[in-house]
Amino acid sequence: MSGGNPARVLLVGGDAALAAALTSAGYSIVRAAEEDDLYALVERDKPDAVVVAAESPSRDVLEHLALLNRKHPQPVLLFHDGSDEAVVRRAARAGVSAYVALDLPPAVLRSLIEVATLHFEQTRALRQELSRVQRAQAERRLIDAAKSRVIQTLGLSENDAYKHLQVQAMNGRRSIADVARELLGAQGAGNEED
Amino acid sequence: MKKIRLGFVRLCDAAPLVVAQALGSYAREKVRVELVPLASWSEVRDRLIVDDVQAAHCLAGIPLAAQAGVFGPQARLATAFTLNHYGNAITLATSLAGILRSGKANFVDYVRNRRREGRPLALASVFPISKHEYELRHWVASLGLDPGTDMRLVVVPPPETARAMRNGRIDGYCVGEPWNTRAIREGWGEAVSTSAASALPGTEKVLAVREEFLDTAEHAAILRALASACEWLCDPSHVEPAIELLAPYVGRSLAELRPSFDASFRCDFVAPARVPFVRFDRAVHRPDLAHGGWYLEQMRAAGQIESDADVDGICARAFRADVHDRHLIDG
Repeated sequence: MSGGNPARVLLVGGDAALAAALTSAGYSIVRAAEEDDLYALVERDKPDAVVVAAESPSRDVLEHLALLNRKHPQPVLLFHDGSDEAVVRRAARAGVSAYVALDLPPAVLRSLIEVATLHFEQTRALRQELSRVQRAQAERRLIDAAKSRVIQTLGLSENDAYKHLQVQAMNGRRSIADVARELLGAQGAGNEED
Repeated sequence: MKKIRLGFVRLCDAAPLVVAQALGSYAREKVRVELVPLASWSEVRDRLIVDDVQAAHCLAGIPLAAQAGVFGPQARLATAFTLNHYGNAITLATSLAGILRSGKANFVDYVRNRRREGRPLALASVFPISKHEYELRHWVASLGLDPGTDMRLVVVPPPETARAMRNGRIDGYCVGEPWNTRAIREGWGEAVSTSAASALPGTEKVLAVREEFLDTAEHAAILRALASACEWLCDPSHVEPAIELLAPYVGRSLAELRPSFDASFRCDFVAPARVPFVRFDRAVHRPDLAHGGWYLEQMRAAGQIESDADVDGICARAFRADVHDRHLIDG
């Protein structure tokens, strides 16, 4: 930020990467864990804003602070001035919850929320990609196990065993992984992985 | 019908929403429902406002406060269905309960001494606008203490209660189940009061929705499904299957869930209640405007709404008994 003191942001339960992103965007960051005494922290540091995951249980403590004193940061989703509707909704969808002092300049509010939203969206995308990869690996192991089973029981070659699974999948309009899961399950083997 | 996302918080009184799914009650009403666990009452309110969930297990105070404007101009929430009456208790740290057992006067002296020593008692509720908060204030006042000055009133998320008590940040709390039973079973807390034993209005959780959702076919279907799930829950022979269904959703043991449902919740400090610890029966579902008025009076006394707020108007917009009747009686 140019001129004046940087806005002080209390980051509750957030990760180091978000703290770094906010610091390099010019904010002064105080980090707190979920179990910290937020009453004491807000009284002591008088943050201009608080950023927290929407699904953090500490949200209700921040709501209490907001109701106790209108000078404490207020929930953005409820008390923004309407000009930032799209930004605020996108933040809510990304799982960001922000509380800001009502005298925080709108430009500062907007940039704070944008940095946090971007971080949450990237983290979520990474997590989804990771679970997609893990699921694909699990399915690969399942299909390999089913293939070995078919090789053993039907005495087929590796290629033919795979074709055997493929044909069953096509006939039943199911995925090969589903066929593999059923085949292993029916013979009392596979523990289904999620 | 559209698929409906139904929010709930991991508590015993979310039972009707969970049971309705497991028994196929939603399916019988031809509505598809996805249950969405939420971590705080703020999250429940926000996800309703942005229409990420269409209906939710919710503190009765939230639609009332929303219609009173406490949450800003866009929060137009309402309810046409009360899920339960009662279900909370006040739990104190075991040592503090011991002082109360030795006599009310001793307890009052102890609380005032703590205040004079500059380390006042801290008692927690779960949300500033909740039955829990007002129950706590009434209980404190009934001892001749002033909740505003003789102690600190704070908010602690229920799963954090154990840690907050252990490290001395709070001395007691008013919360729903299974979070009292957990303290009692683990030996660090003792229940000193229950909502069922108090004379306060019983309305506890409601099914909250955005106003736009009130008159939809999906809302009507969900209310019918919940009414039938509540009826099923009231059969004493269904306690065990109910808590088995509920346990994975709440994430606590059967032993911690059971006392809420089978009348075994123990509180030595109050006369045995005339009513069950929590009520899901048919008589509680129609939004009770007198209870709504009581909540708004508590909000006014706590300075949470303006002293000249139009209580009757707010109550009529938040507690939609007319919609309840249209969907469940006339329908």
